[in-house]
Amino acid sequence: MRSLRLKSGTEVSTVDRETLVISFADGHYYAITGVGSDLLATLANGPLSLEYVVASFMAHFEKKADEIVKFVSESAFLETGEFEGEERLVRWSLPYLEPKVTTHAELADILVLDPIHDAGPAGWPSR
Amino acid sequence: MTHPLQAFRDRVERALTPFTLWSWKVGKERIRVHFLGEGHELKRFFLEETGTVAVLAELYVIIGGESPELPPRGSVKMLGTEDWVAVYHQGGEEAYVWLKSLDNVAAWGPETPLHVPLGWIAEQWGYALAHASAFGKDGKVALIVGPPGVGKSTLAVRAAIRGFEYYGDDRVLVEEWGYQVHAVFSSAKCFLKDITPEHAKFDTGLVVRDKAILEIPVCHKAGAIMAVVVPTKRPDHHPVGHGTVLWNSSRARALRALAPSSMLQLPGLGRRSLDAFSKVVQGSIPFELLWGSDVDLAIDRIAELF
Repeated sequence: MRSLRLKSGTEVSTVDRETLVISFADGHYYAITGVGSDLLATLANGPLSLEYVVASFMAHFEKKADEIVKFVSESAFLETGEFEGEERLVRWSLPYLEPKVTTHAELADILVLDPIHDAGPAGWPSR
Repeated sequence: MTHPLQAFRDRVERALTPFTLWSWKVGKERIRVHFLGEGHELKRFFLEETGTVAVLAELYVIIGGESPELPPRGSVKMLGTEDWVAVYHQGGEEAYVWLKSLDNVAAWGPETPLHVPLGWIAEQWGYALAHASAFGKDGKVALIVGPPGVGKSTLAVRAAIRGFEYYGDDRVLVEEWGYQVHAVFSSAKCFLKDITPEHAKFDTGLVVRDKAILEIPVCHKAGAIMAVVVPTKRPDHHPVGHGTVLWNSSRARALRALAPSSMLQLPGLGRRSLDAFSKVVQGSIPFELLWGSDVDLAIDRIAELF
């Protein structure tokens, strides 16, 4: 089974079915709405099985897999890998709202101004 | 003539006057700062109050010489450039800032690297360092958030001139449970082109790039966050006061304006800070402000919330 997880170096918060993803890797931040926010709110607590995400999405909304697979594949802040651990429920909300991602890059230059020193294996930025 | 290091230390003392962290374990406490510089150690525990002071963290400010070799102990956060390095030993409750020279540090406040370890220390003690300004009335505070250039400093400084309670410019602390804002710096900045005779009483004479550094003499330490305001500035050519509007916004919009600019400007802040920002917008009322060249009218609109 493949797992779906947030890339390292990201922080996530969800308010009113909109999820904010801040990426410290490139200085971008993303606003995700609709069912994409539902998925990210669950991923904030750890990886999920990709197969389970797709199956539960199809069952809950009676939609084709393509819609959630497209969201996952196009989201720069998500990655897949080997799945380990236990299955967890995705808290899909109703009604169905198409997942939308708005990318904000206007703060990316800040990271360029403040180059980050290597903090060693135990410390930040390898959080 | 005052030694440059002495002058720098005096500025730090003045600007950090309102800064206090509250530890539920040991009561109201502060960070003890040591100044070490230029071959002769200048050590002074300038934040000690009378009586017993338990210290939450030791901050060492090292000026000149080579960047110090610091032995890794526990989890470490580091950030810096060729001109400065900030290091924080989590758990060790020690932070270091090395400054290549005072020439690169024109004034205390958010313009200096010294706010970096303060933000890290504060996060460990349950506070998040927010990129925001704040003013209020009767302990009720509007947090002004958004990217550079929307008028955070202009609104807060003008509000201070008009007698509103001033809680800080550019960097303030919010509690992780989201109810209160705490001042960090009594300093503020103002574009040189915007300096008026009314700003003169706050002017320190210090300039960083195109901004004057001000000192607000009465800086309130803490207040309750009533509103989070996201300003948008109209182009200068609009008529005075035309279209100054304040309206309810979404909490998600307020979080987008508050969290990314706070966290990307201070890498090393983590989920704890983001959770704090999230609680701030969920525990207050979010507004958008569209304002033009009439700063007083914009302040009046916000003041109607208090």
